[in-house]
Amino acid sequence: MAWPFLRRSATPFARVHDPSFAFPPMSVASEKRCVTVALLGNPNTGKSTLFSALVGIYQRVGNYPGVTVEKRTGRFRYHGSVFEVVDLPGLYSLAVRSRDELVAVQVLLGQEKGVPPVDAVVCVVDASNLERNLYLAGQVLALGLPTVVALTMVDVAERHGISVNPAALSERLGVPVVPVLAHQGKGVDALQAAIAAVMESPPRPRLPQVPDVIVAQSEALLARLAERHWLDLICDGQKPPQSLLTSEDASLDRSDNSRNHSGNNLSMDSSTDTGTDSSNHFSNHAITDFGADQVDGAANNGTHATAAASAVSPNLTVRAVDDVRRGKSIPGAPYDWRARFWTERLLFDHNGFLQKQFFGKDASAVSQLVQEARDAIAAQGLSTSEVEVQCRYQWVAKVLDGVVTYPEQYEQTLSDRLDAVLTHKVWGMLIFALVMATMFQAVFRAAEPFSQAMDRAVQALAGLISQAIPPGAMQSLVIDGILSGVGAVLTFVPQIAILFAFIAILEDCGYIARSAYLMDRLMTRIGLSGKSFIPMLSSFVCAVPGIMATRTIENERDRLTTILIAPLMTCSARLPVYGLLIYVFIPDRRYLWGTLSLRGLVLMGLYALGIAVAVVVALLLKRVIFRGGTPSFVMELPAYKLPSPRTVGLRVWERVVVFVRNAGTLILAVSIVVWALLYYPHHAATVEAPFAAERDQLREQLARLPEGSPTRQSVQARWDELQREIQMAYQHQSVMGRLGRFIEPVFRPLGWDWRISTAVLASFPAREVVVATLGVMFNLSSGSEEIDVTSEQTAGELHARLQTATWKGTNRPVFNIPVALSIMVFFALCAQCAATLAVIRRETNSWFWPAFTFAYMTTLAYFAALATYQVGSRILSG
Amino acid sequence: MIGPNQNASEAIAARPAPETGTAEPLPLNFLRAGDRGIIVSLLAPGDAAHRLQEIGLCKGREIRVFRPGNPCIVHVGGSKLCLRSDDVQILVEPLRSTGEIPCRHRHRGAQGGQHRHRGCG
Repeated sequence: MAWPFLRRSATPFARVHDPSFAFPPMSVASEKRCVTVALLGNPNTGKSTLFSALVGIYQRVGNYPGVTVEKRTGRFRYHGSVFEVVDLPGLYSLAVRSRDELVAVQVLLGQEKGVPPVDAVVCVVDASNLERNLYLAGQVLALGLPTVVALTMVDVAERHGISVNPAALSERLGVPVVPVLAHQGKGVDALQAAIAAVMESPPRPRLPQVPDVIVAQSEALLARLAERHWLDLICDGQKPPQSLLTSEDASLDRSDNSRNHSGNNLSMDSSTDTGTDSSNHFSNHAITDFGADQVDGAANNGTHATAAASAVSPNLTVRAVDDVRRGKSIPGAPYDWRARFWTERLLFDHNGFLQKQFFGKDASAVSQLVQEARDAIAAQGLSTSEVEVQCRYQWVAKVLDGVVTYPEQYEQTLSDRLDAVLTHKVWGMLIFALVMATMFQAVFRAAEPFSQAMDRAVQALAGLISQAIPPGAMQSLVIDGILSGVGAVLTFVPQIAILFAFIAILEDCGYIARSAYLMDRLMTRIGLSGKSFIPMLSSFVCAVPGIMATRTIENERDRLTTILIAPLMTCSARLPVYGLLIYVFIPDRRYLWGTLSLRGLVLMGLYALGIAVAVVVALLLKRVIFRGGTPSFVMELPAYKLPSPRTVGLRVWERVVVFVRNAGTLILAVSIVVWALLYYPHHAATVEAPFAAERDQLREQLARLPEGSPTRQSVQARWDELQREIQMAYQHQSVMGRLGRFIEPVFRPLGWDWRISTAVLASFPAREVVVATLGVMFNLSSGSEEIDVTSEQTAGELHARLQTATWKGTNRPVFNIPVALSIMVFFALCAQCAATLAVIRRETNSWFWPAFTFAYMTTLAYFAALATYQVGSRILSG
Repeated sequence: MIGPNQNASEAIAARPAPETGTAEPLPLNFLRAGDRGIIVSLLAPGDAAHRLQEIGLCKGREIRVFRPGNPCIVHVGGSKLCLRSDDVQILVEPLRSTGEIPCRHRHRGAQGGQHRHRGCG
């Protein structure tokens, strides 16, 4: 096999290693020469690796508006020209069935705002699975855009005994085929050269692969849609020429072109010499019609080539497409090429997705036109539901004939041998359990020291700041508002990073798909697929990485359901709350000879509550909001491979950045608001007046008494207590305190007094904050920062403090077991976590879903806590 | 058995050649691990059939069961797919298990004579 092979062997390009190469600025407008290249291919073809190899680590990740698709772009420079590469999500076909897929195809067609029109396509084709990969490639080639095929996994194919002749493949496809081994960096230079060259190569015929009768009907449908001005709905935003344009002058000089995006100039720089041959391209519109012999076999009753079809056969060429895009017309092609593409897709789109997307209320009228066209096709003996797959695969078979050789016998691969164990009913499950246990251990063991170090650093910083800034509103804002907000964000980072590293490794090596297979049977019971399992499991550490991990779920409904129920899993941030309340209020009883402790059972019950509610919510969501049948589930199990540290590292880094940027901003903002509510109005005179006399006395005593004397210690203790009482008094009259008292009636049926209510309100940014706020509210000596319930002394004191707290004006104790249980149940189900809400917003790209999550979880939490208290106090009193 | 230079267009022909149509078609879940068959029909609601065909489960292709059941794991084309077929009905014409590990492409003349009705695994 020729390696590395490039069809245009005469290409004069060699990669120039320019030491001054720096990552070019991302703004398109500022770039003179910038070619947009779309990277497209099946999932699991090594596309991401190739993307990284092409553009390096400087990648830009964002979202397309309105959908959850990741927008990933990067740039490389070749011979002075800048190429912007857009990595499209993995597709099996251009037949779109979801909004996510629709966006990917619209980017390819240059219809997505914010992405410049695509100038060239790199179609990634997996050599070990050529047929299926060429199916998509065939659809892409039919678009007529300048295309390069990147042949990946050649090594894998060779190991499987499959050998591909890239030269012959290139000859058949009519485009350059470049074998690449992206992880070794082989072939990447050649690919860059091929991309640069294909921009300058002569026009190439579109490959019409569908029978002419379909082309004809598509064309007729196009005319009908145009009559009713429905074509505007298909090609929105780009204002493509939709009426017959008469400018027949195809021989435009490319150098004076005025491309419709950002004034970009297609031509390479002078070194690649574009001017000389450009005029040839444009006179070269006489294209052989491939149609007839392409579809010979497909239309098995020979019903192609109607008169209408030959009249309007889309003899579009690459340059002609370019012309259309520039607003120029070409003879015989009255409509925008994108309108033509979508119209053909409408014929094949049997579930009506495109009709709904494009035409909205007119969908039924359009549907009638489409049905008429389908009937006309059916009258010719073709079925629109089958003909596309048939003739495309037939084309693939023709292309591959003699180009690829397969082994005589199927050799069991390493992946097969691994799968024999890893997908085994018993062994597979055991190994999966082991992997998950290791993941949890690693997260808790490894993240703990980092989190503690972060905590300590924040504390130390707070200490420094308290010395640097004089006491007052400013100091309080910086320490209690900003720093505690930053601290809350930072303590999440280690566990998110470690958990995500695990998920990224499992994903990159191909294990995630196996785990989805193993867990599918379980997850289908709640209407989800096996792919939801790992995100849900991760949510037991923290809902943030769990929600981020839902990106592997292609089905939009499944994905949303998983996102909505993930925050119900008992995350590590709930543990301090549970720990405190269980330790103080649940008696340490043991049953069954000491093996079962009541405290342990309560904790288990809380975990079970979260899971049970999640199951019910998932079932309800599936029945009520995301109605419609569960789509049949097909998932590719990619061949196992060693995870690439670069891919894993990049992914973890991206997730952490996303978290810090999105969640961090929100948490910080909310922390500052909550701080202000707890701080203001800060009337020092009125609040501190009742304490002033005693304080002055104590201060005077402290100044007088010698260090270490026992009297001094007791005075010091009283001084500390007084400080806390003052702090409490401030909180009592703060906006938050007033709010807490104001809404006390709402929470009274839950058994909560105003202090608990205030603490719960104040814990909106992060639920673990409630521990600190409760500490202040109930005057706990260990201060507001950390309450170590495991130390005997603290626990005893805590116990005493919380037990002795009484309802205002009575000696009825505030806390008893039902109250503690109701608080815990509330926290098990509530959405008191700004980070989670921020990540939901980011992942669903809408504020509706976080608002929905917050509303439904808070409602659930309230009523569950209500029921707990009411039932609990009845049982205990009766 | 055909050689390595088997004609690809024959291998992936859209319709099964008449000479292989000896065995009675069976639902896919009647096949056991390691069994092979040629897909003769695929019924799925709405658009699902189109997608399944696009990713390789199309008529005339050889399918090999790696793990039976629901979901099942099958080899088809060059890929290994996990398929949950609640509402998808795939009929296959079984190919005789020769004991050897089969080629993933269709074998002309391979006979699937045995009518073994087996429960799904």
